[in-house]
Amino acid sequence: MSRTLLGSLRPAAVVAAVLLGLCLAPAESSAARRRFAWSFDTEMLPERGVELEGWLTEEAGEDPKTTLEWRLGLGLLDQIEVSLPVEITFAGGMTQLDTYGLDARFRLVTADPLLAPKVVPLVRVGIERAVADDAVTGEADFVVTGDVWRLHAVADLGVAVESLGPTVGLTYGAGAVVSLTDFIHVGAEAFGEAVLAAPTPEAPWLGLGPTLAFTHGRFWITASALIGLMAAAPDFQGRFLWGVQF
Amino acid sequence: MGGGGRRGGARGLAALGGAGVLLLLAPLVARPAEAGRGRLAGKIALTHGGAPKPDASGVIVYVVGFSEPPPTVIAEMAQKDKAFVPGLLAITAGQSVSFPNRDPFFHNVFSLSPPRPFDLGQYTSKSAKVRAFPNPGVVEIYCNIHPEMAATILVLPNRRFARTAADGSFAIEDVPAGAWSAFAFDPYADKPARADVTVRAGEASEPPFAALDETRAPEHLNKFGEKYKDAKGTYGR
Repeated sequence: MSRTLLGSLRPAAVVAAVLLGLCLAPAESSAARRRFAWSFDTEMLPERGVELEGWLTEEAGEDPKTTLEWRLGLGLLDQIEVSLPVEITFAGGMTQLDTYGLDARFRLVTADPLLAPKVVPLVRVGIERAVADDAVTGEADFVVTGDVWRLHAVADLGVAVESLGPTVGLTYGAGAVVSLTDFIHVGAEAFGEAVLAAPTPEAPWLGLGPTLAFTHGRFWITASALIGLMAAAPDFQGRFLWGVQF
Repeated sequence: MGGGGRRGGARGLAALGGAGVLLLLAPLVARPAEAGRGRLAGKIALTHGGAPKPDASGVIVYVVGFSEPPPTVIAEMAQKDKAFVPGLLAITAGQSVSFPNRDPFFHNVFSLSPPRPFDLGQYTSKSAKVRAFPNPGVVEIYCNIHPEMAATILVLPNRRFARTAADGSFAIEDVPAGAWSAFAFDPYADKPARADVTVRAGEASEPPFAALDETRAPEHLNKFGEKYKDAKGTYGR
């Protein structure tokens, strides 16, 4: 394409052309992609597959903060994946290593794309150490995804037990995305937390917002913005995730 | 065909042309009556760029138009000396294939072919993974680590198929009587040769196949849809 022709194209047209090209590209493997920002998904890395994930979360409201989490994922078996998350927090003018831990996900049905059922259950367990608080948190999630036509839906119920306090919390998430193409998925997500037991009571909260996911080849990107629906919820929480498989 | 890994090419059912459609429709066709079976026999000629090829072995000849249940035996496609062995495997829809790694290093096995996409991950020597192939069609098999490794699994609707000998001869026994379409599949030819044939009980029939010309340049991408880092883009011969 000549320089003159390129210059005559509007940026939006170039972006649209690139996206169209990607959408028409031949099929490829895209295991372990995540189409939700707040709930876990059920696709797994193949055995000995390695993936690097990044989560960037922006929270606005009473206690604004930004967190960046890196996760190195490894497919142990076709239905078992472990990852090592490390989280850094930027808040109140301070940057600190917040948590690190170990995460494991067990897909309870085959990962074979041809033989997998439409409803896929998954169990996730994790443990993380909060460095500044000198606390340890154990987490467990039960995740179910379902696929109907081009719709991919998720429900994620989690429990977290923190040694500090101690505190017991519940997390609940749900969402659905529609695949516009094999690569672009749009939908909405809800996510919230409720503290069941803590030294000082905390009100539950819930947020709801749109989700946009893009998957192609070894890459996936997911973005979501939650708007607080309850008084205790942060006014706004934006999350941007990406992953690259090796 | 023997020489595993001597071919490549990202093709699916479309590569079979009309044969692909027939393969898909085959399970819908009623099983033929047991009575009245005949024999299909003949010879396939191979050319390369129009010149006759002395070795015409490894071509799969099959018949479509009826379906049969798969055998219970698990077929095998091994990884040995950085090649899939055999490089062309014919099975019946519903049959399973084992993929043992017989090299002293890791291999991956994957397919992006619509009839049977899968990714076996990476696994080491002396281990094997098994996959079932329920849908008829052409399944291209590759290794995400070694670009020179390529193979084809031909998933057929019945057990009536044969592999040609070096002189191109083949024989398929116990073919139900009736009017069928026969195909000769060579992974290096652009499309299979097709011949309509009528099988009569107790008789031998010869499908009038045209010569297969091996002109297709094998080429494929890795499992992410990208070019291999250390590959020239064309693999095999």
